[in-house]
Amino acid sequence: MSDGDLVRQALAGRAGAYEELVRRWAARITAVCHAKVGRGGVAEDMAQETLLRGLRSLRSLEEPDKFGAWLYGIALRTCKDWLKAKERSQVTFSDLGPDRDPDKILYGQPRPDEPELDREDERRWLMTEVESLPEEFRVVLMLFYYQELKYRDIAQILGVSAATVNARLTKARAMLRERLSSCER
Amino acid sequence: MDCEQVIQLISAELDGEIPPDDRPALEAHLAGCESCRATTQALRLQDATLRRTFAPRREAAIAVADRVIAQLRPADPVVAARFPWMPVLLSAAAGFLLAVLVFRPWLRPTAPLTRVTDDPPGQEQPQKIAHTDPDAQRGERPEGAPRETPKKEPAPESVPPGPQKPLTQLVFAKGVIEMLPPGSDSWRALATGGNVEPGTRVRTDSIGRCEFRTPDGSEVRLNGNTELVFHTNRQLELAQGQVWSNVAEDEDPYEIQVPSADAKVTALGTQFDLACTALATVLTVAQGTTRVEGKAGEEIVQFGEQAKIVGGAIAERHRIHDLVVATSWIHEILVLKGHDNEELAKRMDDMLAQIGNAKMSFMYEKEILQLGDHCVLPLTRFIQSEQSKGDKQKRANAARILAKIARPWSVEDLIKLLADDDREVRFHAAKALERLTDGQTQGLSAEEWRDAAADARTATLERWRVWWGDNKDQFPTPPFSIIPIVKDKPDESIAPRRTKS
Repeated sequence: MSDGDLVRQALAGRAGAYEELVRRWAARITAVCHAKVGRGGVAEDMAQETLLRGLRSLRSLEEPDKFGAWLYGIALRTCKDWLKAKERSQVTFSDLGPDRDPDKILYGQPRPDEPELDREDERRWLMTEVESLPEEFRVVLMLFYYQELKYRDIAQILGVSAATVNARLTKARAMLRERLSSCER
Repeated sequence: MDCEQVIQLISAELDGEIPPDDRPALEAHLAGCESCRATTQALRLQDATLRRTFAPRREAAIAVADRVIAQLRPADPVVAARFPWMPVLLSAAAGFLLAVLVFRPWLRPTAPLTRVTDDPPGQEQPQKIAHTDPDAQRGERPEGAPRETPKKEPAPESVPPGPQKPLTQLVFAKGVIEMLPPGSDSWRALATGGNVEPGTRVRTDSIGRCEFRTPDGSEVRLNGNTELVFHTNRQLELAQGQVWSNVAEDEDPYEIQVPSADAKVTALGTQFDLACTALATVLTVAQGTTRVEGKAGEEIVQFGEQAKIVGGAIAERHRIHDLVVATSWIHEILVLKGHDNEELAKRMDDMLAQIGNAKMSFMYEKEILQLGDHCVLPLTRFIQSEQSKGDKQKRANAARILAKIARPWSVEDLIKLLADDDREVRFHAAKALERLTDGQTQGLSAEEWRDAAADARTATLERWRVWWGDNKDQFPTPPFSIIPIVKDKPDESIAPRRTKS
């Protein structure tokens, strides 16, 4: 069943239709949010908020078959709101010390289920490098590895061609190789 | 083709996206370019590392979906199934002092049951689905054309007040499920977790599948386009469609009336499938026996038989050898029930029993492959079980299929299978490990696991265990947890008993 069909069913009151959309899109939206905000734990919150905002404003979606692109737009705006709020927050010098991380002061200790952000292992290292790639490359990489999407599905979300997806993934991988090998030196 | 162009093709090939026409050019270039071959190898390693790196993120995204859905439907047992809950102690296998803790989240006690409306009975304000005419939406009836007036159930006879009897509950669902309570003239949506009181009519849409559980523990599954009446918890009426019954033992008989066939089917402790169409009613008995009563009298239909019922009598009857395929429509519901599912495990056993027959093998293997990772645990348990050791061919087939569908969370179980006595099981386990661990062999290839000397196998198995200890954090946890508590043979594969519900 297409996204458009599920949207129409959800609008018609069918229990479970929006749930199917949530299951289908959770990984993609989390990937996009992760690419935007650069933090896995925060990305989950942004994705959750996006999916709930999507439900609340579903009636405003004029073209149900464009659900994905529409939800992507909500994700970008949700993340933008968060990034703006983050910029406005201030941490005083007195709160900082040699061992104090400003983000931890702002956002508290990591949740128990958050990826092990404090452990220096290869996975964390690689994820940090992924998170620091330029945005157009990291979003493609994250969409691919979060859900192993086909190029055409990534292309549809981002509004580019499949060839562009291939080119950006190739470039992202090359940049990662370059960065990781320069770290090893 | 220069190296810069080739690198994009390498990337596409890694992702399974290389156009078939470009493959020969890629291979020709790689044959003559050592640098690009090295790049290919490096990208493969990087890809495998990235997949492992993102594995926890994928799990986190699933958890996001669960949290969102929990806010949509707090009492949905499908959502509750993702959160580990009560450990259940399994019975020990004969000869082993073994207890296994299995988290069986679908046994989680449900939250207080939700009803579509909280109004007292008789004062319900039906949530009319006034603007959604499913039949019109499906194109089965023109919009606005009058719907056949649903039968109004007679008002229940007044009975002395007594303790409230438990009700039949909708426990799993896919698609649109609707109910028509007694005395009501409007269909309403029935949410998972909702109850149906005696006299309620329920129906599914064309893609609907669902399972009801009665207070006595019977399971009643509806296929798409099915309409069924629960006169009581054990007296049903099939108006149209297809229903599967797993009947629990009880003093009261379990009966399904089929008005269109002028017949009634009574279960004598059984599993059976009943399909009612305009042309015929077909009864398939998967376990136990049933009695068919009609104008022509009574007849028994037994396990493995399929009978066509017309005009109150059995018009045709034959043995059916492919029960699993004949009733494969319930697989979608079994998948909803979670990974550690005894009924699915039994079906796996039946399908494995059929594999090896050249005519049927493709069909059963196809069914198993379609069930995907839901079959991984049943297959693994089958191979680990003592009872499977009596059928070498079946075990080998199970191992072969497991190697194709095993997931990253199977790695620990696969390492244990390297200790198996059967060379084919070892071979397939090693093949799967190679696939899931980006080429790890620990010094013994899959082929070598067949015939290597016992010493070599023992040493390699030990290297695998050490490797697992160092690397297990990089692999996702299974969607269930199996923790051995006590083993009297620490280095042997565990052979857990299947759970009894």
